[in-house]
Amino acid sequence: MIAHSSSRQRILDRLRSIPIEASEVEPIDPSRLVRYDDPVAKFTEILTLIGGAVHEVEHLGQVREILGTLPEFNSARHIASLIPAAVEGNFHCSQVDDPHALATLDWAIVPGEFGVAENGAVWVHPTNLIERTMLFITQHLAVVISRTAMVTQMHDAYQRLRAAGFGSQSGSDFGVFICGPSKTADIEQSLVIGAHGCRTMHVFLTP
Amino acid sequence: MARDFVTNVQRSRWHDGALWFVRHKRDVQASSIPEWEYLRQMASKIKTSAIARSAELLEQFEQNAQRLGAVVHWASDAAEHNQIVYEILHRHDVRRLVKSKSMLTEECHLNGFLEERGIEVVDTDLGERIVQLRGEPPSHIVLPAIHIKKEEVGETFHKHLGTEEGASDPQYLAEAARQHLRNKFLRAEAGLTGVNFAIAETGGIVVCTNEGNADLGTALPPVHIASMGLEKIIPRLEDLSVFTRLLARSATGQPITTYTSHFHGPRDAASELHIIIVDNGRTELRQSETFRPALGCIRCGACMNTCPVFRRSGGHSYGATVPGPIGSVLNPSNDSVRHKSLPYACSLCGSCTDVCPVKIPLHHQLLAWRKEFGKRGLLSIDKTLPMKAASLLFRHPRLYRAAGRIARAAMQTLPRFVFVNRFNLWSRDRELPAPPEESFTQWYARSRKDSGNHAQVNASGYNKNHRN
Repeated sequence: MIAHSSSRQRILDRLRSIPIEASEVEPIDPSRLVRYDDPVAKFTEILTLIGGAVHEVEHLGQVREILGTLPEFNSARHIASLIPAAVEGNFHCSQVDDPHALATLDWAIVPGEFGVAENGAVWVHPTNLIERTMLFITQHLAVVISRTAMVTQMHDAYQRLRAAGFGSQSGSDFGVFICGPSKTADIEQSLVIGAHGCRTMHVFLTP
Repeated sequence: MARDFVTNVQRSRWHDGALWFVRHKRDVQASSIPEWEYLRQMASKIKTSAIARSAELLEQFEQNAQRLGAVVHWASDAAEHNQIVYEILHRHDVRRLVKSKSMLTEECHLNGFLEERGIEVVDTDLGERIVQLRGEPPSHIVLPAIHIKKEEVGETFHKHLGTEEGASDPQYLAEAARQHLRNKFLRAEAGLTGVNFAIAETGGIVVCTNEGNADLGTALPPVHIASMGLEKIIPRLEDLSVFTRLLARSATGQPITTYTSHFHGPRDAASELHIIIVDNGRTELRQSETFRPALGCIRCGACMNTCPVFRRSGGHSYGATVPGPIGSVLNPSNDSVRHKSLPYACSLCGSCTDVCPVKIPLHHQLLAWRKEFGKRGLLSIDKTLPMKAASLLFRHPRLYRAAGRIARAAMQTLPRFVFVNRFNLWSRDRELPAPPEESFTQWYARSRKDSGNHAQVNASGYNKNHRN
């Protein structure tokens, strides 16, 4: 089904028709990058500013306690949890194989890999399609990460991803930086939280 | 549409203010990172190198993307791109397609092409959905509906989505769109996204959104089509660190977009990922040493938000998919006759160049286009004749002074319509200033004489000396 190879050749020939000298790009100089005395505090500041909520907890049980104070959690009907030690959940993802089955999901509680202090983003790396869909289709999202898993800025973040082998697998892979609830300002620049993805995002920082 | 906009002073001011607000947010974010200028330099270097090495990088990308299970297509132009999309959809018998934001598909006029073939195309970015329902093109690449008032969105939604008549609360309207589009996502049989970055060394693509629409649109249906201009290629995974730090800060003044999604291969073994690499004039632009840096554009829209012309005239007045300073550089390379007025809609203030995260010398390129039009003989007589006349005058001081005297006298005595008429485009929205009583040379000579200064300057002598 690769029937358009003539265009492929035409484009590549065109790109090679004039030699353009390419100078080597030096790697980023870490000494020029911003550092924070307290990356966790910076992360919390930025994510809160953006409309997310950050909770420092001492053990996983506290996640359930804090969620229990939220009306939108108490009224939730469908809760999927990938961290049963924190929240039991009543929607069992292992039993579905069609992502459309997640349409009525109210809450998803998922693990994150690490946070980024400079912008409040969390790297989430779902292991299958259902876990992936859950992140975007749920009305409310809770992500649990360790506060020791905090990088300063995006340079450190991608170094960490490379070290973890992201991008060098032999098959499909998906990962996403999530920074706060989904939002839009497309109507007269008025910020509206809850566009297509989650309406609220809670990040729990464990020891 | 553009004329209505620019003649409506109130709307023009409102638009100006809305964009300046975004520009201000960008400034706040840019100054929050001490290494901002360093990042811009690095981004410029990475893009310059990637553009130079694009053949090699695209082949590397293709190989890696295929290894991950994606199908890679190549399209020379818009028509071929649209045909490829249609064939993929047709093969899967797709009737309903959801799209996230892609300026490339706007550039290719994909929606109309698919609709003619019986496929429902739904733009899922809220701003794009608003303009799609209104039958308009986006007026801005990042803020597609920035030219529309909330009351007008309310009318559009009332008509198409059944919201309450007269409702204009953004929260209410956005919620209605969420419900409406949820349904579209759940029923879609294929999803199409743009591509912000394509990583050569991994074969992955990165898509950035705030709404989460690209993610819902690709997680639910089994077919994902990603359309990318060939300039989206970057060499390494680490290069993303530079661009993800610059993109959202420059675009909307956010530290990063809500979702920065990294797709490597199709979602699972039962699904398909098609990546279409599109030329459509890009290799042509790359041939030109002058305009080549414009290929580094990451489509953040910062040049539009800062441009005094764009802010007051709106995106539709550019008559092209990509408006603003970057559009005025890119569009003439596709069709220099049709877009030849764009590089003139610029005061050369240079603000676009100052904010560009990849350091494209935009205002220099706009000036270069003017030169290029001259070389290509594309200038109309209302530009060439006055320039020739001016050149003649400036070369002959006596003639210059005589012309000045005549003009001053004429403007004082002849009726106004001689100068302000429909042939003088300059005076369409402007009034000529009152002519001075005397020239600067006359005034200078006279005031020196009046003050009794011994070191009198003879005006004509000054001119002679100056010419030596």
